[in-house]
Amino acid sequence: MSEDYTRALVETLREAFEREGLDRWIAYAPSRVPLRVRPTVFTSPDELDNLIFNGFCVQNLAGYLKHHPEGRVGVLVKGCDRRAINVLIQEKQVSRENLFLAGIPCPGMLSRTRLLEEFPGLQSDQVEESGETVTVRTPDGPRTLSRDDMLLPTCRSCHHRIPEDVELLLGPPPFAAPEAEMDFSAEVGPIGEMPRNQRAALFADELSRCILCYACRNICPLCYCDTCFTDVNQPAWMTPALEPGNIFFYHVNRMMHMAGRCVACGSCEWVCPEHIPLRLLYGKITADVAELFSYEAGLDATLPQPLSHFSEDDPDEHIG
Amino acid sequence: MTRTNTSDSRFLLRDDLTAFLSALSERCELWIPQAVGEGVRFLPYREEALLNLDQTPPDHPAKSILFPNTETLFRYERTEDGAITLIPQETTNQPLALFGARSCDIRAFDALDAVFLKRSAPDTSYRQRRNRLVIIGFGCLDPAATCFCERMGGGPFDEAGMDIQMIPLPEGYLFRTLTDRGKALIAPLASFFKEADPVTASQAEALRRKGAPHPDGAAVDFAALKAAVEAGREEPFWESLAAVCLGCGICTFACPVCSCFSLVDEGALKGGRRIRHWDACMFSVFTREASGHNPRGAAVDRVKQRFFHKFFYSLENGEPPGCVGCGRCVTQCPTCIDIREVIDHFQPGEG
Repeated sequence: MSEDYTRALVETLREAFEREGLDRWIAYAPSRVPLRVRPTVFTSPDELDNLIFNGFCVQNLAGYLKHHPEGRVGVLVKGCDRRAINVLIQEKQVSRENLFLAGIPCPGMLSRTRLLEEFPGLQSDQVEESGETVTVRTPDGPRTLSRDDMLLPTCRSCHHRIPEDVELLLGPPPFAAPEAEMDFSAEVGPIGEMPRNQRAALFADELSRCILCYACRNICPLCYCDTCFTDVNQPAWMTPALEPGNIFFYHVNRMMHMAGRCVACGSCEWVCPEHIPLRLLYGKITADVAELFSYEAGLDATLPQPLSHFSEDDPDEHIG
Repeated sequence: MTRTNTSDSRFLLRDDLTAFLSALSERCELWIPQAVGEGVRFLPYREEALLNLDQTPPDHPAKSILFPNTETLFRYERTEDGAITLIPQETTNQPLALFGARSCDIRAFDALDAVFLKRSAPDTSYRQRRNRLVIIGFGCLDPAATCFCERMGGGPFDEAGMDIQMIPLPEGYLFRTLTDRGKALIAPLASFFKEADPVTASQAEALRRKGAPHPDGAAVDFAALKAAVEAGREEPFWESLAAVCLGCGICTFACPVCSCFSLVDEGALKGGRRIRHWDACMFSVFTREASGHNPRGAAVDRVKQRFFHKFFYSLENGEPPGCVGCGRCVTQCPTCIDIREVIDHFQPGEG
């Protein structure tokens, strides 16, 4: 069933690639690495035979637009990829007319970590996704799990799985988790309500594992600065020493830069080799923006962003 | 290093391991693989640390015992009269024991030695740790699907570089003492061990000889690989990797061989320090020059550099190849840049 879906998907995208005369197509291909797919920049319609879509297509592809700005680009977008592109449009990093977006109603992505915890040594070909279940073939026979239980944390509170404003809206995959019930603000709420010292201890504990590999920054579709503050040495805002002060400084700064921009795609959390729950640590800022400005990032590319826009009728409540 | 004539085998019951490590930690600076968060890393022993010998390989390499992620090379102080005093790194003669590292990580020390000891000026900070190092290596029962140490000339029970090889068996561990240094380390702890009975010894021997079934192709011919990589310098293959590379530090930090670093002076008028920290050829600023020019300004140049260093420059310089087949970069690269595919691309027909 899912093979038929993939075949139909490939043909639809190939047809669009040719018809639109695109220069490249950004999507996913299989890999030999367990429970991972390879983000891929396809440069000709023929290459699309190798395209794949499944529950491991987590990485937000909008980030590649900064690496491949030339020409007309097709992108396979889930809800979060699409919303990140809206932010890039608002910030004038990409031109909407250079993009051909094929939207895929997102089935909710699977947690590699949880699956590997449950099934050490699990390989991709042992996992079968169908309907609301995930079936894992084990030496002791198949085990069927609820897809909902195996979702990535970020997908559990996503209410924007269907990408909007796309050139081509694809049919839903034959596997999907039910509509998310959790609310992101409710999820990060307890962190916001912690006493300050307890919250500081939580941040210090989680961030103590950070190795400053900058994968979270580099995968983020919205971290596109040519020179990040971490890489400036005159003045040196921080040094590269792997010490708590520098680690904290890096994350707090990135966090503030994400205010009103983060689409909570969770790529940073997914990519972190140390499994630091970055989405949650950064989430209070997103929740605050939602509360203070009734604004959720990436829903509408024509709206101004709350923190880069001045309105004359701003009540300025914070000014005594 | 002096090798003992015949390896001397003793048996440690599984239940006695905790007490053994605790006793060992009183005699040396001991590092063990510990669960930290959801990963495993080598860190100095603490009574409350969660020992983890099960993760194959531990997701952090053991290189940090010799080459810490960040270290202060020296400090300086400046007095009011303007005199500057240099305060060198503290040194000690206490043995530095690495417990539970697998053969891949230990073979990688040869490559680190080549960089830090065997070039024109030995690195004093590395050398003082290397001279103190005693290695209790761990026979690797259960290589992961992404492991390919045998292709790279090693093997899960390869004992090269170990002072003691520890072989996991159902009831405990067989300690094969391979060097005088290893013997000296555990001699005072003889009461923890019993003589290995012939059955145990033969079980261990069988494991050692069997190695691990290897799914992943024939041994790499490094000379041929070097020539093929060089001939393929301009191949579009590199572009396909660079197109999706994030330019993060995961692969280099996870690599037991990667040893690039930068030096930074942190200081004010009254004093400061010089630190050395891991750097990564995948970071675009790694090669950015003061003028702003970057000789490896494009992602493809950086991706190529990583593999050229491993399979061309190291060999060209008469140093060991830059990969021991631990597979950490394979499992940890978020975009599936797979060093096995690089090898297979340039050495077709071997896989």
